[in-house]
Amino acid sequence: MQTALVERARQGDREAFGVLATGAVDRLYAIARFILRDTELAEDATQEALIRAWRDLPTLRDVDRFDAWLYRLIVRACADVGRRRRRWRTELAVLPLAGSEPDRSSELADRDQIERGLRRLNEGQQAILVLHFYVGLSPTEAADALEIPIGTAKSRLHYAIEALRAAVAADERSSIGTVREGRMA
Amino acid sequence: MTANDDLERRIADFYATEAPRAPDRVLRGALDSIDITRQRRAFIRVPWRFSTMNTNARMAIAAVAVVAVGAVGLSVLRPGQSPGVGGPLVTPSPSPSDSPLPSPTASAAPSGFVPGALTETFTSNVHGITVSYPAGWDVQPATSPWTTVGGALLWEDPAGDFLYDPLRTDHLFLELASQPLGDTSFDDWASTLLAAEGCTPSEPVEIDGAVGVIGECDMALVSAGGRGYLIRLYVSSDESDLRSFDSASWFDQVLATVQLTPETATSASASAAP
Repeated sequence: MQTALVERARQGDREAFGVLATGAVDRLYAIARFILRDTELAEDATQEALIRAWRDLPTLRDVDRFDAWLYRLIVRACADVGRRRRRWRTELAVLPLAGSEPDRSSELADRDQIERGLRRLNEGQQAILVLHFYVGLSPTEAADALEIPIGTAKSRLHYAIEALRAAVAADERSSIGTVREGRMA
Repeated sequence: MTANDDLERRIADFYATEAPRAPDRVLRGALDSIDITRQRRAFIRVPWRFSTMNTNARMAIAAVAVVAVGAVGLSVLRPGQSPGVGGPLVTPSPSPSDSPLPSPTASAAPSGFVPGALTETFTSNVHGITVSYPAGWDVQPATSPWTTVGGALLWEDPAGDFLYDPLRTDHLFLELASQPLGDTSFDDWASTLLAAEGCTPSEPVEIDGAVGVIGECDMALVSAGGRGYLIRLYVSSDESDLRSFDSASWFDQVLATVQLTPETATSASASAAP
């Protein structure tokens, strides 16, 4: 089904591409949002990736690799948008993710802690974590999407997890310290 | 459950729960832009045997092919005079010895597009390469080293030098880039790039004394001073007059003007950073 749509879109069928884009836009946007952690930039990156996909689709030789190719495009778009952000903005207003309003239930507190930890990672680390844990790519597939060697992808994934573990541990220590101070007061 | 498993589960849960949906305007905006965006056309280079023939031979083949097409056309338009089964067939022969005789049909063929003479010179400070290009073309020099691996650069990537016809922009351009090979062998580097572009290597090439390979997609890759060089000609088939452009021959002329100066290139290693 998707292969047929990709073939038609390659031949210039905008309607077929519209179907493909509709099916992919949420996934691409989520990836961009997780990597860039900014709503507006994620929207820009998603649109850029979709437009590039349409423009360059005839150059895609293996239509079965459409999804992997899209991931590569969204990661590239995030890198480009990220570069522009660094060039034009000195400070980034980090927005909370949808649905993460303050809530003291342990489940949400747990997710808040992960989110705080993720904010401390760089874009490269965010990207590999998103591709592996959200999209479900293997390190080999993520290496392809990120256009890096497989060994680098594996080590980057390892160090991203370790960096997140350290951030979460620091967050826990800080929470315990706050509670102790409260008890002593 | 180990600490590792636990953290990985928490990361996966976080992404699964927090994944946002794209606002409608994202898809709408993209589709609006796509409505006015033309697709790139994959350019297929002629087989290398054709490109290695001399110009006369190529013209002979083109003329014979045109005559053959004309003959077939006539047979369709005038069925009463068609040769019929068993009759004499018009068989185009690729023999270089055939002389390109002028014919009324040949004169109706579209004249081949040829960019202007290679009178201008561009030197890339980032990539350590000098090349001649046509007068009237614009240049967008690279502003950063090429540090990614695994594919040619997209149009207007800041890591590439782009020399282009201003009337056609991303439909006709030359792309230049280079990067240190580091521990990667040139063969591996070139294979990766060619595979990423879906490009079949067609023949060895020597550019300014540096040896490498040229692909059927008009992408030349050579190694000099520990750097891998990429020189690519992109031609879209969207524009009708470009379809008659003998790009392989013109690309060969461009490659003949190339000077490689790896010692002047910005030395940044290819990195894994996206």
